[in-house]
Amino acid sequence: MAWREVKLPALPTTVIGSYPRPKWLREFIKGLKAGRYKEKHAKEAFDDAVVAVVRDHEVAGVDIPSDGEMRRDEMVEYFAERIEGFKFYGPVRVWGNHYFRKPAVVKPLKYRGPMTVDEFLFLRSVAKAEVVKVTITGPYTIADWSFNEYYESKEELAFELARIINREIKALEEAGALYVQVDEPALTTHPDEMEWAVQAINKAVEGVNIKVGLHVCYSDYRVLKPYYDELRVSQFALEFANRGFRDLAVIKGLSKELGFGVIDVHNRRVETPEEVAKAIRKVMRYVEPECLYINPDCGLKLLPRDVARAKLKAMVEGTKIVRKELARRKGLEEVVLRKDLTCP
Amino acid sequence: MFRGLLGVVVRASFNGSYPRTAGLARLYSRLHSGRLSGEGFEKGVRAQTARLFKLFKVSGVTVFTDGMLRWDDILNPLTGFVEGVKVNGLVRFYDNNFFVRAPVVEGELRLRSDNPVPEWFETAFSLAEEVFGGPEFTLKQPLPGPLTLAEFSVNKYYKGYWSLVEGWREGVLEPLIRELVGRGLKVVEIHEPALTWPGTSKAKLDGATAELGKLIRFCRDLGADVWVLTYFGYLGRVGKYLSRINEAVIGIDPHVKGARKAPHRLVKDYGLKRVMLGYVDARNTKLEEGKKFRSAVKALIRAGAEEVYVGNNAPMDFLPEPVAAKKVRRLGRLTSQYFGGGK
Ligand SMILES: [Zn+2]
Repeated sequence: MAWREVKLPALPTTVIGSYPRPKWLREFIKGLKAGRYKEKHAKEAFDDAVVAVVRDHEVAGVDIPSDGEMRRDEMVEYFAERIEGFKFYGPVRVWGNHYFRKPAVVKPLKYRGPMTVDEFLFLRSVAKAEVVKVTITGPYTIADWSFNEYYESKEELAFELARIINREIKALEEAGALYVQVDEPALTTHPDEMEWAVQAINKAVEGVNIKVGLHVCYSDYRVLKPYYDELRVSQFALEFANRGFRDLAVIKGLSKELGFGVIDVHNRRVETPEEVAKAIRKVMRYVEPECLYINPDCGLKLLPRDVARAKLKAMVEGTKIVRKELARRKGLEEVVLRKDLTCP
Repeated sequence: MFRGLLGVVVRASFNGSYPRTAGLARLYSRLHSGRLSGEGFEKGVRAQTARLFKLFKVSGVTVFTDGMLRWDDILNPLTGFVEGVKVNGLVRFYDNNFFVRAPVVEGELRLRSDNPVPEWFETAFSLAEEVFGGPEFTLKQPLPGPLTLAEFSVNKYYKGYWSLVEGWREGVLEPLIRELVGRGLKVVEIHEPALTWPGTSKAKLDGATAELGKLIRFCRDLGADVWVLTYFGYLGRVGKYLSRINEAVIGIDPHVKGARKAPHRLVKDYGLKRVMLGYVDARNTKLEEGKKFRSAVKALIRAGAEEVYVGNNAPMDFLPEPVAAKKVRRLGRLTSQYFGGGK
């Protein structure tokens, strides 16, 4: 299916990606790991969970839903399990008593075939929306969150991953995806590596003809700023609610779309629609409304599901307040899905 | 005791923290959810500590810490036992995907009398005696250095930065070390990654090494030896001030990116005599190569080091536990194979 400029309401609302797994799914996964359920039941369970998540997104009024990353335990792990050359030695502590299964690269990496295409096809089959979002962890973050036993340098590893992710994004394009988001939470953590990290991301999106967003969160955006133009993506999805919408000036000079984070995902207090509207009005001092998407700061998966649902609803309601103002003041009611590297 | 190259003894050392085993992680989660009592946890931690000491013993590692199994990170829970401190949210531990809780300093810093660190040391010491069946080991106590503590602090009380650093040294570290030495501690292992971290301003290095020098003298006056471990950054950055702290064993991380001089050049150029070479990389699962290990250590001795330890460059929390165990065994084996100082 070819690229098309789908119409969307002004200030399209979307999610970053992950969403809380339903309680029953978590129980099911435990049972599956303990051998109480068969592998053949897993697909059905995950599919059902995606239906539930998409329904939550739709009821809240989100324009561009995701599948909530229901099938993924963790954003690096999921890809490392599906690319040849990784090995898991065991969990590594991240803080306190929290762990993640950090993979190690022990031999040449090889693309085994599509990792997210089935996810996308199922999501599209159950979503009412014409545009859905598929997330892929970026080459730099996978490299940074892995042990490198094989490649000469982290840079070499990141470029190898970029080639693999490029094939994956092209497979998604082939399957009809319109919108892919590359997640790079680690991007700014080693400022001295930014030069080649940016090139690795560009390599991952080379020759892609659909919309590509880049999500970077809990980061020093001043480190990202010098690379705004160089990054060959059409949108930056950034976190701002967590920092109380301070430092908005850092997006001055951004000539791309902004996915504006208006929902704090690390706080259970549900924002009011008016707070959301106020934040959107504030960001419009720096970004043209036709270049603005509205989303939470980051994935919602660490929140209780009812809180996540309420937060999405508040996000959409708040957006609607500003939409009315935009329609009245500027006659702006619709935008189109764009893949251009610049906006406006 | 084996006299190696030029009469220098090379010893294997385990520094800082050891990753939590799956069993220990379970103990913590059961404790936190109230399914395990304090006593049950204590019993479990002792068993885990003894297990770790057995690993050191069979590996031939006789200089070690208790693995910091009761700590969340290099700052906690110590900073939670300090008056004037409120323990805050998570902050990144340098360039790792690892986070520590940072202290907010809201009043005068004073070590609380209910801090459990000396008791933990005593418990670990007697466990080590049981495992080793005698005094053939050195149990070090790792502690965060005053600069690292100050750099992680959110200062809401002290007027100037240096009063904050001094507050940590005089109000917390010195009384704690005095108590620890009273309970039999012989070697204090000061962790000062902030000293070599590129993010610490160069202007602070003068004052920081002066403060460290005072702390080292304090320990030595009490009769305790001191190690100062630096990691994640290039030691040459501190170069001209090293003479202030080189009475201590200085830890060098050889796995630093962009280091201008190799460890043996640092030893030669700055006249270091006592060195801990962090040859075992705590941030990569790849196992260390024997031949390179030997030549790196030999180069240190030829450059003039007189007391040499080889160990992990940084806390081992960054590794999966099974890999850490392999690395410890390999450290002991390589040290004994090439220098006789291990097993
Ligand atoms: Zn995020």
